[in-house]
Amino acid sequence: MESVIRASAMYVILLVVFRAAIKRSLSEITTFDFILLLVIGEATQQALLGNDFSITNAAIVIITLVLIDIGLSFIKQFSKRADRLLEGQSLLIVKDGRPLQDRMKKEKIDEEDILEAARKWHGIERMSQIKYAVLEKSGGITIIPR
Amino acid sequence: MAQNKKSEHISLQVKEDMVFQRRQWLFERLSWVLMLLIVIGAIAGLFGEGLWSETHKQNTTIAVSYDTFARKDAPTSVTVSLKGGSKLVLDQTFLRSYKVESIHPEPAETTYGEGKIHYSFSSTQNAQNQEIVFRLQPNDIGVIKKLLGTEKEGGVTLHQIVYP
Repeated sequence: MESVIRASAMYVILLVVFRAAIKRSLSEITTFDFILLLVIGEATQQALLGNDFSITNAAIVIITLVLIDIGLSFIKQFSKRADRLLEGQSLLIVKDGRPLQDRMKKEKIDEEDILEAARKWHGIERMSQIKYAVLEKSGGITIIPR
Repeated sequence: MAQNKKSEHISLQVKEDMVFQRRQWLFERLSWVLMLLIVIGAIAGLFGEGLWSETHKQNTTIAVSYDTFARKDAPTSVTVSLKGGSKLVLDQTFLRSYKVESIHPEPAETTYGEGKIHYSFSSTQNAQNQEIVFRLQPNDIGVIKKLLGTEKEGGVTLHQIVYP
């Protein structure tokens, strides 16, 4: 039973913490973000397994985590509000070639990030060629060219 | 509506087999139910400590409480109450099947002979039902049966199933 409690508690803690973390850092991985994720993985592992090194314990922890994941995806399917609470929403950040500065400031994005996404996905050269840019739930930026 | 093995009736070049797909969806849903049952089982104590995981066995001389199910290399505890007599007598093989992390309270004396280990506990006057806690880690997997008794006749059999 302890395995189930540990797994559930860690899932909730990680969900809340990463929900609060800045979106950009999770989608475009810099070296530091990568290191951070590794270290978080290590810390989580300790909490999940404790001093129980049996295969059965690992299996129960993994199954509990996956089951919670499946359960949440069910909930997200049935409730739009829950979906928005858990995943967030898409946010418009460029409109008709003009960046929406206050939103970008809140999300800690600058124009360079938007232009990089524009170059990557559409080979766009300048901001004026962008019709809309959206910050997606995942933290990625999608571009609609003119 | 004929189900083609390959979707030849649309121009998209994708190989889909709906019979296979439906079986896969069924398999997925059955797996979810199985996983839910496993987690409920874990909470109940089917794989280790849980809500209904304890077995109690006793006779006139000794009472033993332990988890019905345990896991290899994972901590579990066995609580022994000596009702008559002051020595706990175990089979030597007990130590082969379990790694004893600690015994609380510590035995005053440990002696062994004839394939048995005797733990003597010094007790105060009315030391009926003194509780001794063994913190153990199973070394084997499978069914473990060990006799626990006192220096008097008879004892109880600890009957535990250990998962890998």
